Amino acid sequence: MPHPKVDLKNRKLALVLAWMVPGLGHFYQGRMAKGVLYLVSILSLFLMGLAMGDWQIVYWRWVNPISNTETFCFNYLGQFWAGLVALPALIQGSLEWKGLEPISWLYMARPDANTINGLYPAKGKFVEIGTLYTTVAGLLNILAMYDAYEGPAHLDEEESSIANDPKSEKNVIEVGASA
Amino acid sequence: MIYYWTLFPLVAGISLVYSASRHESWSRIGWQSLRLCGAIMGILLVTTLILLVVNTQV
Repeated sequence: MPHPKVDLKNRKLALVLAWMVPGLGHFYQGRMAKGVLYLVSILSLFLMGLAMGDWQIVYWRWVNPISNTETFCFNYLGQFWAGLVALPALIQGSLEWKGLEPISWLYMARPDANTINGLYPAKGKFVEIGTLYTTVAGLLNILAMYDAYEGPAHLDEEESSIANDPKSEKNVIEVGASA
Repeated sequence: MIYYWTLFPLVAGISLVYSASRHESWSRIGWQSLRLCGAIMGILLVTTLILLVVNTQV
């Protein structure tokens, strides 16, 4: 079976693009179908989770994670990697930290205690499931970013074994072309 | 019971993205994601059954 060639182009740029929008790094590399797969899978998981939590479960606040473990937004460490779609939380959290008003037309401002407390009776377990969805979506995008930067894991092994085979006519690895 | 359906999109998404990050060939991505999806669901099912049995014995 012929091995497909993967031109990773500027890998660092692809990595940044893949973080910004899931699949965008792959679009840049010309891996359109894979880009669509990442875009649909990751973004739909993230948006479904956000909707399950009534659009209130992704937010960030600048607190000391050692002394304020109760208020530290641990989930956002995963959610952040979903890209620009999760970035408003960081912007809103930073504005709050600076003592400024959150941007009213932008979502992901930290909800007040009453809103958070009201979410659980209204949505039940969907709040937790939505948080899980958004966090997993962000973590999955790290895999997609790695794929944009390094290329697929098994293709490397397959291509390497061909390159090391002196009988093989194909001795050039065309995977992982750096910038 | 109304929460159980949420498992399927999550497992499907994880399987697809993981498989796509391992392979470039679509046939391999498809097969691995199906296998992975089945394995995850199988493990979850077995775990649930074990917990159910344990729960009824307590």
